[in-house]
Amino acid sequence: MMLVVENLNAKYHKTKRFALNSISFSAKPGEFILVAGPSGSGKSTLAKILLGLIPSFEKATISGSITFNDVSISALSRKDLIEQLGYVPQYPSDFTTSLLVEEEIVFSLENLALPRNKINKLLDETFEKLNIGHLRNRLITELSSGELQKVSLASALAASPSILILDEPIARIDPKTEIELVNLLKTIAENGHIVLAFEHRLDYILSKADRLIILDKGKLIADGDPKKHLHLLEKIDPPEISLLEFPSNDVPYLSLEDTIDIQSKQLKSTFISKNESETLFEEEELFDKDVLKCENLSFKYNKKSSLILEDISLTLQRGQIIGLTGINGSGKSTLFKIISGILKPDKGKISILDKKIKSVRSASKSIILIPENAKLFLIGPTPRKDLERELKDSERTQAIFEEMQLTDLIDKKLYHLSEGERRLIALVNSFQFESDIILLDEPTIALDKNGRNILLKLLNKAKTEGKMVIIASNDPRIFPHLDRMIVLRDNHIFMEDTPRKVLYSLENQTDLIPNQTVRFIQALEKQYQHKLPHFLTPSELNEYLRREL
Amino acid sequence: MSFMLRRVYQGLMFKPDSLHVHPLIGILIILIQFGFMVVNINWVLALLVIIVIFENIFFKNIKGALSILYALIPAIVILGAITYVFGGWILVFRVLSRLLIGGLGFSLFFTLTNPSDLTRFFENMRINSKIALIPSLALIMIPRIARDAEDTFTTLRLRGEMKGGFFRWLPKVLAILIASIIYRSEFLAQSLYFKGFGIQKRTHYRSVRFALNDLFRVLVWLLFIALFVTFYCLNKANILNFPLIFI
Repeated sequence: MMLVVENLNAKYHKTKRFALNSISFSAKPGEFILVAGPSGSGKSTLAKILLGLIPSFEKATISGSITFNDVSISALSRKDLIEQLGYVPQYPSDFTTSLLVEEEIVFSLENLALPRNKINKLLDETFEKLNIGHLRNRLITELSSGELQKVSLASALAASPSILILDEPIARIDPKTEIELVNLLKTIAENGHIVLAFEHRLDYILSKADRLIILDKGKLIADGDPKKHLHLLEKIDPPEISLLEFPSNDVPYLSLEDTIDIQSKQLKSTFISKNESETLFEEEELFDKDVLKCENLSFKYNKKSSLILEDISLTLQRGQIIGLTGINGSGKSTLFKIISGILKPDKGKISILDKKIKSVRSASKSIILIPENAKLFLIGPTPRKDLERELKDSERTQAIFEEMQLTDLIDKKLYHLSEGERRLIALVNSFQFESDIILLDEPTIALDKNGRNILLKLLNKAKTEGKMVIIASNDPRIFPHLDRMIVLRDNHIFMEDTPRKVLYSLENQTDLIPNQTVRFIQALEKQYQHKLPHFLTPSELNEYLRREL
Repeated sequence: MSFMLRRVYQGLMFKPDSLHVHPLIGILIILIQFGFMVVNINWVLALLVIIVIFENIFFKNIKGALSILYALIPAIVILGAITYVFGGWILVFRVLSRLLIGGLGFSLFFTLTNPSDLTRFFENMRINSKIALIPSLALIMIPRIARDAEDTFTTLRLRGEMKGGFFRWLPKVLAILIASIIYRSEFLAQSLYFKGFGIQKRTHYRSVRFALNDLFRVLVWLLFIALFVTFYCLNKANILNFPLIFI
């Protein structure tokens, strides 16, 4: 099965710009292809055209050709198309059609009218292939993000399609599950499928991809060996490890493993000759007026259920960016709901500026919360009007969007914005509220490099204004930008300190994975059996190496 | 609203670990319950309430039944007050017992019936697949909408947008919720399209079989019918009073 895309153009109705412009590429079985590009580059449009969702669900003018084994996609019946293509959507939870895992996987097989014994055979094979037999009779609503992603993958693979298309498969999962899932995709490709993953979180997936296709403003600007085109990712979001600059090599590394293998010998003398430890970074403790106090909080959803949070005590000061991390189900979102007065703790109390929080009404004077589903925060109908509701000042609204370089989105209808754009608008608008405390639930999901930079800009501004921001996230790329990290585990605060101290203590903790710079240094420490300076970001390490070498 | 939706969802949620009942039996019993709700005899209604409570306890659906009862609280209070004013305690009993029978009956039905099996059963009955899939899809959508409703209320309250009277904030809530429902429905439509729903007549990977639970439920309801017929024959009261069922 060969997939050939030739001179593909696409233009949405009512827009002037081509969403895709002369796209040509081909793919053969066994290839694991990564399609990268910033928000609005045309990734989703390309995926939807390949899947037939455009023009069936969205109106657009398309020209050019797409063929599977020399047969045009337009000549294929829907049944043929579905048999050839497996699709893992960006939001698997919105795409499920059954309540139970087993039913979800067989649904498309039943629709394809396969005989009963064949369906059962395929079902067993799929469970075995993805190692998810233990989920067979579980309710889909009870699955974690990682489990749901695997079930979605199983559902797409059940009919053994030749081509597997995945739309941002790792955007919502934690780094540990990311590694598992990417390895699984690699195996699937090696078993003879074409795997096309559309993604912009590239830290791990890029090191496993056979080919990299880069889209920018609807054009294909690169297609080939990921290493060869790495420099083109600078604008998009290169893997953190590729940002490390070693004097001995000109070509950046793609994978953490390669970097450790090659650089550990070369850097040994530099690091060992010095007797510096983590004391290289003396972090000043930030002490300001206590804003938020949680005292001995305990919570469970009902009398019979087990405790979600137990004996949580926190004192948080203004002007701090605090990260709340922990595996799914560790109680991050529940703690947010308690802080914002949505849930009442069974034990303990919360106070903001010494005033006890009893309800959402009392919390609303000081707290603003952006939920994981950020679109629910926006009342709209456009980003400008949404912010004007709060500010009641059109000039200031305009100035804020100009400062964030988001003026091209300001008058777009909210439902025309992509998920990443909507989240970005919700973040920008939430920071303009006169709240002392901003709670962000998984704010980096679907954000590209530009979006993440805007978030960092907002965080710095909030700090200087003396606001407190609490971020619930497992995204390792956000950890170095925090002032404090709180790790929740087994319903308790497992650790609370500066990110440097927390991340370098996580070495033996398998459920939380630090960013690649920290993992690189941790690996060197292990090999050298020697304490090294605890670098947190590529720029810290680069600066050190430039100075010492 | 979000609280009620969540309770409805919890009350109607299929429980994979519970004892299952054949969809045919489940539907027949629901029809029997609704058929007897027409009857305007207090002891029949009382017996119906006792049986549905007993069945909910037997099939360990206490949590689901309580969720439905929580969700019905506003209806119980409002209907209770109105009927008390217009008809006194007897009418309150007759109306509320029907509400309980309906709510608890449906809760048990959906708890014990796998929605996909229900779809397969309807398809076997030659009901169009698009109609047969509706209960299953409804049960999938309810928790999603409930969660959106909950998040919408919370964020609006934290944004300070829930000030003023009901009619001032309701349009804002509805605007966000309706947009969310449309958005989710579109995804669902795309999912059904891409999973090949409606291409041709579906096959079924398993058939739903009758089990001992079905026999148990059939016996309980046959006993009830026998009791009713016996007592009705002994005491030929006017059992049907159609206008009252619409109260």
